[in-house]
Amino acid sequence: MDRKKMYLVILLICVSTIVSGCWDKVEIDERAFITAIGYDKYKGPTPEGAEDIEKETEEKPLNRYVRTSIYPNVSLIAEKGEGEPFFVYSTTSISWADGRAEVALRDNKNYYAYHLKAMIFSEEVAKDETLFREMFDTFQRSVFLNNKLHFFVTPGKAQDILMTDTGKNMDVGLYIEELMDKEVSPTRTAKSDLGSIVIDLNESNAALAPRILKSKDELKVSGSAVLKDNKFIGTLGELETRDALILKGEAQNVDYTIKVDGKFIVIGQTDLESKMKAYEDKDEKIRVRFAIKAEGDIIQHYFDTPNEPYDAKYIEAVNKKSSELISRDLRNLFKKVQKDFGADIFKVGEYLRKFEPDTWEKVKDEWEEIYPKIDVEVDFQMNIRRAGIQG
Amino acid sequence: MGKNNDIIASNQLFAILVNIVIGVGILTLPRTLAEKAGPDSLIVLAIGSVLFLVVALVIQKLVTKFPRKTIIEITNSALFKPVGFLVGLGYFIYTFTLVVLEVRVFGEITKNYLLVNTPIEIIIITFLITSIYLVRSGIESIARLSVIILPLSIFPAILAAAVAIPDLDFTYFLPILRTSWSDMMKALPSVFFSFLGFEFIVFIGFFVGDSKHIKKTTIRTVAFVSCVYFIFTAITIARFGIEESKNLIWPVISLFKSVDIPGTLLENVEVVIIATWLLAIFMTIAIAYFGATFLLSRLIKSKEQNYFAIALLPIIYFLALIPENIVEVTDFMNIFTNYMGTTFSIIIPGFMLLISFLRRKPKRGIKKNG
Repeated sequence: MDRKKMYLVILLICVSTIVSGCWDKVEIDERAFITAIGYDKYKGPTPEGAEDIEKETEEKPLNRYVRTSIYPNVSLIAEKGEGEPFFVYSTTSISWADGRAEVALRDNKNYYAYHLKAMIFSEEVAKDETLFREMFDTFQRSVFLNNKLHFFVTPGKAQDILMTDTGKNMDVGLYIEELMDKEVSPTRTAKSDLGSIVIDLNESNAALAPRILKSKDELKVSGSAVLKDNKFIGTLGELETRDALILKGEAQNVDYTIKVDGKFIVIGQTDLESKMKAYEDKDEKIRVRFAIKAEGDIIQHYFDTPNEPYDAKYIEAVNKKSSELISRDLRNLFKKVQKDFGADIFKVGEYLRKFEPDTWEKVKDEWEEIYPKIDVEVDFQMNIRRAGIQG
Repeated sequence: MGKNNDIIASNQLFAILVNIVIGVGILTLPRTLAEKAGPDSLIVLAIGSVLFLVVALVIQKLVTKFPRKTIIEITNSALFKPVGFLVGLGYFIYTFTLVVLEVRVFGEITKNYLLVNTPIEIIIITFLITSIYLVRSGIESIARLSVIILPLSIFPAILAAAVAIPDLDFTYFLPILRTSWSDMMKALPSVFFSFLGFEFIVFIGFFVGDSKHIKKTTIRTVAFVSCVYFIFTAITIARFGIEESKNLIWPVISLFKSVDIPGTLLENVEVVIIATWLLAIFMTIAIAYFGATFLLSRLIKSKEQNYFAIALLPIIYFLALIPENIVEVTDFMNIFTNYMGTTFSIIIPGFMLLISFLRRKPKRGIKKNG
């Protein structure tokens, strides 16, 4: 009986050691939880010596990127250790994997990208279709990258962005995540993540990505980058981005400054509903119509003008004026995107495909040429509901 | 342990059938549908489910006609003896191949998503050893475990998919009925094959005590599975759109991946969901494995099935490792479902039912005359 038990114990020990499958075990404090990765274009060993770089062959591709990755000091977050709040590693690389391998030679921690929060491309990388497509394929193929990570384009160097000291004892990746995901989210930058950009590029061949820039020692998300044909083709400013989001019905907390009777009035928008309708008119011309309904409060008028805002007729006048001005702005924005970029970021084509399939059948092959010529009509209706607590 | 008292209730049969049908098929179904039927995926899925219900009722009719008999005895009584043996052998090879394929797919998913550095051989062998434990315990234990695992595997996945609801855009299913009929017809077989596994009833029906409820169980099973398929296909395509769904290899797992439960308490929930989903695949394999051993024991007229489990393990293990890469596995799986699936789930049961009807009639005539 005892011998039987002995055998059983030995068997149990053997089984538990052989079968437990600990191939993937890495201690948590030995992992580098990469939070942000940036890509810049590699231009040769020195800024001037761009021609010195060696010739590319089939076996030996050239370095294409400067890859910068950043991860927080985990022990500092756990309030147990001290030192720098974050660590930055930069390297030249041929590909994603090559960059990872290069950094692995220098970093004492284990690379771990499962919690990546932000991906930053410099405009130069984003403009280059080859590099853009190489990277986006890697992102989509990887099991480890989260679909919801924030993708940015920066006009400067991604490296500079990542090396910013936010002054809040935080690394840039976590900082950006908090910045983009906060409750009152910024409306002057595009609201899209990697997954939605990929879907938009697949369905409409155009997408908006948020832009990030560095001014002095601060980070700023500002405006948006227009992506089309799997590359970066231009930027929209902060207010233009806001207008684009209004057209898409995605910007809720917006305020407008409008001059009525020589006074600047600020209207705070509280609600927004945008409906797009595209159709073919009798002359076989495609038209798109945005019907937007907004509600708002007056948050700034002019001190010591008693009873002016608190008057139905006056409010009606402000409604009319603001609707007119904002409609004009929105229409101009649509035309700019249409003419300058030819990028269908408002998904007019997708709308036709879904709701007007007969029209879509006719235009889908020449959509690239037709889209810049379609007529747009914007009907923005502002409805001021409240005027604060001062009459 | 009452081995000779192997009887299951019809609600246990429901759990077994649902568990065996839901497994690997649903993980790729949205991709196949998006590829072939585009925005009409859900319509094709609904039509396919109804058509499968018809097939399921044919198989069920055969099973209820011959209570407490497996396909081998059914064939023996409908035709003559060697044919029964051949058909039984066919079903054995079929279930056995199914085990091999599912084991490999299970290994690939686990290695891809969960245990990146663990060799696939170890994943497969530990998994097979676990299933052997269940297979050796017999149909009663399998039935009980099915009842336990069914909610455990499906509801977390549905909950996780429900978190994606704010991101859904159901306009991806527009325009309605613009896909050509021929394309929709071409998409039907893939819906059909995602229900494969149901035909196991031709030998699991042997264990059912209350065989008069089998018809009800059949309808419930097909209805339940179609609902689950419908929910996942709808959410996946509404989340990713048609184009992106075509690109994803396991769209449903990608759906779990894209889910972000608010707050940073739990990040990357897909790991948990894949782990619970593996329970569903585990049950599929365990039941098919049991089916293979059971058919083998019937073929060589052995009273017990459990010792075949270990004997088959090395063969399953080596066969599962034959395909060179994931693409080969998928290709082989398509061939398998197209030919063997059709043969064993439609042709043979339908043929047997036809023959049994033909044989009955003269008998009844003789009786009347006599």
